[in-house]
Order: sequence, then structure tokens, then C-alpha cells
Amino acid sequence: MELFSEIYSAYYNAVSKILSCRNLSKKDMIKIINEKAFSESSLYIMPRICDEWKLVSENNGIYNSRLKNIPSMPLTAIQKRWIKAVISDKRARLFIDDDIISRLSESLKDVKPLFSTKNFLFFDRFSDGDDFTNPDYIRFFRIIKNAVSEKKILEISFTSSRKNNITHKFLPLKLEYSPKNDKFRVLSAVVSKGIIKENFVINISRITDIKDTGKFFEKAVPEDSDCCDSVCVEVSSERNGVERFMLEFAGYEKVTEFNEESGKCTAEIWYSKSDETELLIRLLSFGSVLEIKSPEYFRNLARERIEKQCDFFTKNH
Amino acid sequence: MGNSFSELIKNFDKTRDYMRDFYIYGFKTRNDFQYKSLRTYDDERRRIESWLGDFIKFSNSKKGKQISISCDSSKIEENPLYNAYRCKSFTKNDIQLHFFLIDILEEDNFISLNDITDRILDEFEISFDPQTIRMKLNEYIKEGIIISRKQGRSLVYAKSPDSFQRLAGNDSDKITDMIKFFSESAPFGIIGNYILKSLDKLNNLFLIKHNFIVHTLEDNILLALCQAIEGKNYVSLVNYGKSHKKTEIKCIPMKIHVSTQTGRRYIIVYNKQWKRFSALRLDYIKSVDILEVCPEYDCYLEKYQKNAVYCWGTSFGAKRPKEGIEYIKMTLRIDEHNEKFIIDRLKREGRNGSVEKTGENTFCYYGEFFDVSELSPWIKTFTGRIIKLESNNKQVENRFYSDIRKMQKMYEVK
Repeated sequence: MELFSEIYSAYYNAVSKILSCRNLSKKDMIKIINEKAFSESSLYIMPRICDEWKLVSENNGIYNSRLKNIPSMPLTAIQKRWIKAVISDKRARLFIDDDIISRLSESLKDVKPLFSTKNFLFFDRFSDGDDFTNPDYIRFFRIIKNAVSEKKILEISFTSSRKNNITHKFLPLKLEYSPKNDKFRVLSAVVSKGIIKENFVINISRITDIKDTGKFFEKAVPEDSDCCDSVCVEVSSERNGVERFMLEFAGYEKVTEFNEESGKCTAEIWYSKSDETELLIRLLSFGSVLEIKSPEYFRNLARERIEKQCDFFTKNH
Repeated sequence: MGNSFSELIKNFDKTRDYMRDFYIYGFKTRNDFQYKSLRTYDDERRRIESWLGDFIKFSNSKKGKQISISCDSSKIEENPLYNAYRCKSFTKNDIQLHFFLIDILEEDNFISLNDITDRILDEFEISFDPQTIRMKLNEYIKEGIIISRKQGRSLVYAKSPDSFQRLAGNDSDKITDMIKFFSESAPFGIIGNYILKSLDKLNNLFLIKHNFIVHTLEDNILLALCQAIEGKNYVSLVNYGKSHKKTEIKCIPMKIHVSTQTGRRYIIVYNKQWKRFSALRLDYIKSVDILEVCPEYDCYLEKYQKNAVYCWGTSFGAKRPKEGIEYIKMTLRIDEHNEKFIIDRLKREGRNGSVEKTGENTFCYYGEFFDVSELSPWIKTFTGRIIKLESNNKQVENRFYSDIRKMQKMYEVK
């Protein structure tokens, strides 16, 4: 039972797709390989599939599978073990009811779960995560999930962080989960008179009601323009700072450069404006190992907090 | 494609190191990889470029051309590093037998090795040595693709009936959506991704914020550790710690501690020789050997659970923990009418500590832990509000004050 095996490889997947189709030209096969595998894969697969592997037959430049059936794979042992593990996760109920979980558990009764959530401790996860067992929460989650797939416009009522009750028409674009917050949020677009006005994020736990408008958004959804700000920081190697910073900020789009002489690394990080405060406090958590260099406005945000902190020291000492 | 270059790889470990360097650091140039051969570097770089396409970024630094894997992990539907798992090399026999066997074998219709050999010859006009076919059949039985049973004195084979469609039945869409979510958020998400690929599906529903996609590169290590925890086994680990020095450690794995904020993951182990719990970073472990069952496993587990309440993150403190419990007391200025969210933050992020109002707009966070130095980064997120920081670990207290003084200079605060 291997995690890294050729049976899951992109090459096998591409070949399987080719063998599922009829009357393909070489161009068609290259197109499939480019879709299913990587940029140089067709250079390897094409000469072999057409000749050496004897998986297709050729007639006047048209290729057909030599197999009798469309290739289909059963679930492998490791795949069944993974499914058995994830259905015991509390978040599985957001997708499937208890009766389906019982049916799956029965079908997989001889299968050992691949892992158990009890063997993991997410030690810095926030303690006020969503209640995934709340029936209303589950209902709203499912309505939104389906609306994302169908591009359905919903009328969503929710309580804002400032305790205002808001009702508006939204097009849910994606569901976003944060393992740190243990919360789901709806990334959506405000829709007014059939036109997208702006992007908006709603915590599912704050939703109080959802009404189906019966309308769908037919047009293409404009790209989210939220990620357009950047901050430049300098990190020193002191207290393993560079390694700590690089891993913690690995998820951000960034450009980095290391100066051997100073032992310092500079990084320009791109971030969403809505996450600015979170980014600021994360950068401050590095203390003097990290300096925010620019833009001046962002540097001043840090400066103001340090100034306030120094004022406390002056008063107390 | 030159004769010697292939997108496919036999061994995941070497690629794991290169991908990690390109993704985490992104500032290394060709010359930084001189400890390995430059030819190897060129091949690895070309491979990773081929797998990851648009995620590869080039930039020029004083040291030369830098290559990095760059993406905003909260905006991607599929972890691009999964592609490394989809590149295992194979032989001509492997791919031929794969497609011939899944074509010839049916569910519920068992046939013998001789029949399989004959049918491959009849239908595909290729003669395989039965021994080669038997080896592939045995491999596929282990993978769960093929099942076998005894018929008379010999074995007969059929395709496993456990297809996704059969398992999911009428609930296929719901279960597929569940797999879309867990393929990007659960341990070993790559397996969910394999299922989606075989169904010709993509995750089009979920994004993961605070997403450490690099964790997938440690999945082989994690899998062995999960297996050992479940089996209550000892393990032998080859570990390269902070100093990159190779050590071999025999220990008892207890639990995986994951930081959702710093991206670090640890295995907490009990080491009989050191008579204590310690934390080893998963990305520093090169290999895991599962050894014999530990008969006293449950005793150590109980001990771990008793100790874990004093653990802020991963540190189990000094050698004699009971004598080494440290406290931290942080007094903060919070506008209780307009800044309730800060009080909420203290409560939801403060783990086993307590929050108490001690005066008008003044709150105190108090906690007892094995090693309060672990709290330092968190404490600094409250910079600008900390009236006083007290601890019996004077080093932590002093370091906080000196750090703020350094920042005062750094930001030219008078």
C-alpha cells in the first residue's frame, strides 16, 4: 500500500483518458496529455503509446484503444482507508447525513482508517471555532455549497461583526475554510440589479437566514482584485529568524533575497487588504528579528504600536 | 527531451528537499546547491518547472538567477505540490500490464494466472512470462486493485468490486464534494486528490486560508508515524535537527502537534534513554522505521496526557517537569467598551491560561506552562497594550523588554 505509486501517476491518468476515447488523431492525444499531465509529458508518452506500449491501434492516422473496455479503476486500499478516516471527522456531517455515514461505515467495516483525528493536536487553533453540528449551520452550508456549483444568487441575512442585521443578494463564489480559525466563510459577490458590485466575505456562523432568489448569474465573474498591496520586510538570522519567517509566510506570494554579508533576508509579500491587521500582528510577533521597511504607511502602523508600548514602559519604570 | 532527462522520478526524497527549498526559501541560486551535483540540480529544477508551470517564478539577485515556487496558498483550488506525487517512474511492463489486467479482469469472475497469460497473448499479441504477471498481480493485491481466492490448489484473480460508484451509490455528488474539501484540508489530502483525478473531477468549491501546502511533502513520514501510534510501536527515526546533524533516535511516538499558524508540525515522542517527552519536527525527519510494540505504551500515553496541559505548543520544559513549571502574567490595557474583540482574542488564543479584569480597562492574562518562552511570539502580537509582563522565567521577561527597546531604535521611536 504505497502513497507514491505509478498507479496514481499523471502519465497513467493521461493514457487512461486516451484509452477511453475513440478515433483520436495525434493532435487529440497530445491535447489530452497536456491536460492530464505536464508540459514535457507528451514528448515521452507519444512515441511510446503509438508504438512500443501497444495500447492503441492506428489506421490512417486515427488511433483507437486496443482494450475491450473503458479503463476503470476500483478504489485502492489506501483510498478506502482515507475515506474511512475522513468520514469520522466532524466536518463530514456538513456534506453527508448520519445515515450515509452509517452506510459507508458498514461498506468499509473491514477497512482500517488511515489516520485518526485523535492523534493530532492543533495546539494553536482558536478555541471559538464553528459549531459544525448545528442543524442550521449544516443547512446553510449545503445551500451555499450548491449555490457555488450552480452560480445561484441567494438572499442572505446575517449579523455583522458590529452586530448589525444585514440582508442582501449575494452570489457565493467559494467556501473558504481556515484551520487556524476552524471556521468556514463564504467568499461572495454583492449582486444588485443583476450586476456584481463588490466582493464580500460572510462567516457562515453569522448567517441567520437564506432565501433562494431563483436566479442564476449567467455572466463571467470578474477576478477578485483584493490582493494588490505589498509590504517589504527585512529579517535577520538571529534566533533562527529567517527559517521561522520563511515557513510561517510560505503561504504568501512573495519575492525574497538573501544577503550573505549581512545575514539578512528581504522579502516583499503580497496580501489582501482585509487581512492587514492580521498580517501586522504576525509580523510584530517576530519582534526585533524583523523590520517592516516599506511602505511608510505600513511601517507607521507598527511604529505607532511600539510607541504606545514604550509609553507604558516609561510610565512603569 | 534528452535521453537522460525524464519528468518521472523513482525516489521521492530527493525531490522533497528541492521542492522545499524552492517553495520555502525561494532565494537560493544554482551555486547554493553545490553540495549536490550541479547536473542533479539542473534536472531537478527542470522537472519541478515542468510539473508546476505557472507557479514557478524566476528573479535575479546579486548572487544570480533565483528560482522559487510562488503562490498565494489561500487562492488555489489544488495544492500544486501534489504534482510531485503524480510522477512515479514505471517500466514498459508496468504500464502494459496495468491496462491489460484492468481490461481482462472483471469483478466477480475469477480467472487463473494461466488464463490471464493466455488472454494477454490472444487479445494483445504480447507474450509475458507468467512469473512477471504473478508479481504484478501480487503487487495489485497489496494495493487493493485485485482480489484473489483459492480454487482447488491454485489461486484465481478478479478485479476488486469496490469502485467509487458502488461505494457512493446515489450519494456520489455529496461524497465527491466531501472529498473535494478534505483533499485540500485533511492529512494525506493527496489521496483525496488521487480519487478526484480518477473521477475526472476538480475541487471547484473550496479555498483554504492559512494553508501550509508544503506539509504534503512530509506525508510519507507522517503515514509511518500514524501507523506506529495506532500500533503502539517503538520507532527508529533518522533525524536532522537544527544543526543538520544526523542522529538516529529510538523512541515512542505519542501525538502529532500541529501549528496552524507557524506551519511547523512535530511528533511528540517519549525517549526512554532521556526519560522525557520531546518534540521532533516532521520536516527534519528523513526516515521512520516501525519497530516492536511497546508493552507500556498506555502508561506513557497517560503520562503524556497529564503533561500536555502544561504544554503551550511543543516544549515539555526541563528534565524534571514538575519542578519546572513556569508562570506568565501579562497585564494589558484594553478599552472594554470599544475593544471587546481584544478580550475575545485573549480568551480564544490563550489556551490553558485565564483572563481576568483587574481594573478599569485593565485585564490580566495568567498561565502556567513548562516553558513560557514559547509564548514570546504570541505576547508580542499585543505590542502597544502590555502594561506589565511578569514571569518566574526572568530570561523571557528581560528578552521581551530588550526586544521592545531594540524595536524602539529600529523604528526611530523617541
